[in-house]
Amino acid sequence: MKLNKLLLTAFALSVLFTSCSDDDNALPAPSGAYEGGMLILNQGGFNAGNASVSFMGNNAAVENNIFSSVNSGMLLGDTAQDIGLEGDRAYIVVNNSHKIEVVNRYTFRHIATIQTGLSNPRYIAFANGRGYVTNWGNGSSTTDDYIAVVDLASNSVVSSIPVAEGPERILAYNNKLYVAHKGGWGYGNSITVINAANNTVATSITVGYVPEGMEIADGKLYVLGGGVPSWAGTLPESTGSLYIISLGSDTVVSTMVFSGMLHPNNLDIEQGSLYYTAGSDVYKMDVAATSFPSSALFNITQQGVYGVSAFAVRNSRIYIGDAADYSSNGKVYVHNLTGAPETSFTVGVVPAGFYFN
Amino acid sequence: MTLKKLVIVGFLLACQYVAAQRDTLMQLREVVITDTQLRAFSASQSTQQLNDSVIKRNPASLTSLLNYNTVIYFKENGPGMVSSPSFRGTTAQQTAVIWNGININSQLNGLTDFNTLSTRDFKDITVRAGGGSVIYGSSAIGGSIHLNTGLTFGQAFCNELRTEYGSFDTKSINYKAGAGAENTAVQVSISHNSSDNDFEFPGYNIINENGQYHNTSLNAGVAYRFNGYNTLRFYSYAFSAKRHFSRTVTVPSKSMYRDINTRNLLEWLYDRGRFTSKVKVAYLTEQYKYYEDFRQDIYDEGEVKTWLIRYDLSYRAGEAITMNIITDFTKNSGSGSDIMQQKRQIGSATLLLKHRINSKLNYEAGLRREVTDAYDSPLLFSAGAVYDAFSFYTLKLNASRNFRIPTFNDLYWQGSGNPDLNPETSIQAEIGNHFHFGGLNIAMTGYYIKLRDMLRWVPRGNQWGPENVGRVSTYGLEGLLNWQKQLGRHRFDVAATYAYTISREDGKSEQLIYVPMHKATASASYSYGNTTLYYRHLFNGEVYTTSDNTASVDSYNVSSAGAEYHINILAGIDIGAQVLNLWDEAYENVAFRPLPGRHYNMYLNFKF
Repeated sequence: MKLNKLLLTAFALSVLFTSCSDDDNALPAPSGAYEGGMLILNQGGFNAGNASVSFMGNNAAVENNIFSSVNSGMLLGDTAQDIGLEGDRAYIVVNNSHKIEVVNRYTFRHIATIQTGLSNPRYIAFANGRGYVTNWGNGSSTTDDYIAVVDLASNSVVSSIPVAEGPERILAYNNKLYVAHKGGWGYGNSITVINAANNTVATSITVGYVPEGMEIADGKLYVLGGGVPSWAGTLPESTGSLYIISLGSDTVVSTMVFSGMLHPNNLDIEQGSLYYTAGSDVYKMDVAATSFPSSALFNITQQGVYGVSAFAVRNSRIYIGDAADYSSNGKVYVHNLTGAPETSFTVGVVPAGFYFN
Repeated sequence: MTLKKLVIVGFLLACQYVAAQRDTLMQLREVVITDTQLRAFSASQSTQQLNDSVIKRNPASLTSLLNYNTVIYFKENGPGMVSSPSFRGTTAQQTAVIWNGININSQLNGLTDFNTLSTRDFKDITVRAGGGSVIYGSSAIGGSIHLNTGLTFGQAFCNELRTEYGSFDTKSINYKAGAGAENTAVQVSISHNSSDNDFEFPGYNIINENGQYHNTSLNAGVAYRFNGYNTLRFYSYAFSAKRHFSRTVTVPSKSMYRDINTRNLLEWLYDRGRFTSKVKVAYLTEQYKYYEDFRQDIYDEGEVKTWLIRYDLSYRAGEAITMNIITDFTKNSGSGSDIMQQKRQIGSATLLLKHRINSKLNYEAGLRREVTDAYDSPLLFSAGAVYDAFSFYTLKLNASRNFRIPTFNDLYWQGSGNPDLNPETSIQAEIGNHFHFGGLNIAMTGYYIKLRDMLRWVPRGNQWGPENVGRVSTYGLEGLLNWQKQLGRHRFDVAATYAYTISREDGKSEQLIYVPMHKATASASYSYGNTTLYYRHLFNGEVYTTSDNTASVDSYNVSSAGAEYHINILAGIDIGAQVLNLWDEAYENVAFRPLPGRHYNMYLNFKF
């Protein structure tokens, strides 16, 4: 019967379509050599399961998706937030998978997965032979936030330290940990100081709203506040700020507030200069300056870039991550210190952080 | 209990009586639906009616029914989870779901979650492809899905009870009752579906945790005829669901979602001479609660209440011409944890015309204008013609302008909403070739849709918000095939669909994400006497998951087979069993969300 033939043909064709697409996922062989150079953490889409790590070597060669290709297709997970480098290991904090992947930082070979004891993990720092990981708990709950203490020998969470809502970035200095409360689903304005010797909260320091970035330079902690955004609803909009804290006394020694209504983020301090971004503008100022620059060092919109999804200054280069439409592969733009563009390359979905290996 | 027994005996007698007299009564009874435009003003488009036996032999979710039997592609986050359609390459907000003539897409996000409707509650589900905004309002761009409650005067008391049990503790129960007298008709359906949904992801050592769901629904219709001219009808649908949102390969989950939706429609029909007048008042509510952690009593919520008043007057100017004027007024009141409390009022006027020029040529045309203070609304139109060129061939042409209005989320989302949005609009055209040779029907439709002012949430500085930015062109080809043959006690039924779809942002060569270029379905059933065997197959082409088309979900072929036996006891008992995903295909419909391997289902259907 003709009809039967038609159906058979249709099925045969459909099999053909299937087999055509099978070989799409083949990856080039990974080099497995990532010492030196820069790791780029690609957050991936929320619930899209496509977090990845890219690598740019000192020879400028770029390798994408290195975690997966080194570890025979293993998935990194969903919404990677941070990489911590300690000893010969890299700890990749994967927020929406509620886990940390531990790899050898130079080969990216998988060592362990830490899952138990983490709930919405965000950032990691190291002190006293332990890892300290900020956790939101449930984003909708304001009372279940904590710092998970990770034993680096057993790769397990051994204890937790309850803290205020929305702990985000964390830095270690002199056996103390400084936790910026960006606020999670809300808006925070404090730094919690934790004593790593006994894992207890030593003090809390009030800073400007929404601490986006923290950097330590010359015994001082620089905290860049983004300010409360216009859509907060619960709080009036407020402009950004820079708080400088003495790490000897854990007290605020200087406060600078942006004039008008500016919402900066992405703080980095390199060679005595402090860099931050606001929208698509990149600013540079002397770290000791007492006022903000009136004009930007450069603007990235001429490159067709929406905004800055990742930012770092290192070795006389400014690195800018561009997430494009947040669904497709992102790009990294490299500028020199005067802001002139040098090069750019494609990375994974939503580049979110640069780590120098 | 004696009373219960007595009632059951009563039921049995009633239905036995009907069974005996079925043949003579059948011809007298007419099933009436209130969505008259679906039959009267859809001739120049492709419509596909899914009958009771197709509905029954598919799983209870509207997603499964349409996925396996129509050209519509679904993006489904696992069985029972959130499911959104793409019809002719359009977005989920560009497909309208119409319940008894009323558009029931969510006012909050503009779409219908196709796993929040139970097919068991409806005996008539019709897919109307192509533009329909002139008649059905927002979202009828790719097409519309029509759920109708049929009412029959003069029907004796009849009951139907269906129970299903399947793998992963999936249970489904549905009870239907129909009754009537000369001037009364009643139809009631109650459904309950539940599943543990704890299947293993094939190829992974992971169980689909936190995927359990249950839902309960009631669909009822009552009609009372006062005299030869006046009829009152009342329709009501209530749906309540509690779903845990299941994990993916990479994301563990503890979230939970509750939906409660109600739809009520009261209608006064006056039918005399050349005039048919309908006054309709509808009250719809939708409500959701989203729990990030099902163990905590912390949730986001949203709610919209809608009042709708509609006057629908149709006038038959002789045998050849029908005119129809519809005016309606809608008032939505929305509130929620993320949206500003808002009221929105929309008025509209529609004019429809149908003209039979001669026995071979018909045309139909329509205009609609909306008035609202929430956005600027374009003049909508549709025009179509049907030419019965030969006894075996009909040519259909249709062109229309349609729209999708901004939702409550788009307009009023706390801080991000954009009050200056306009509707998305489309200009579209299609050509349908319909062939019919005896029991064989083939329809082939080519279409082109130009979408303007697409509503997209895009990054604006540090924040995301909706803008009228996208321009998309979609074109494609649809084929539908049906074949029936009765040879003595042998009966064959074959149905197949195929869709070829290209959907691209203007100026780009990449296919839009989650729109397959190819999709095909096929089903065949063979009955001999009281035994029926059936098989259905779905081919779903590769879909891209990123806008630069660098990542994709592989294509898949998945099949199911079933057997059913009809026993002539009471008014009929059907007993059936199915093997779902017969060939144990490991596949994903959404990236990192594997679907179950081979699993089973059995059912028992009593009529009494």
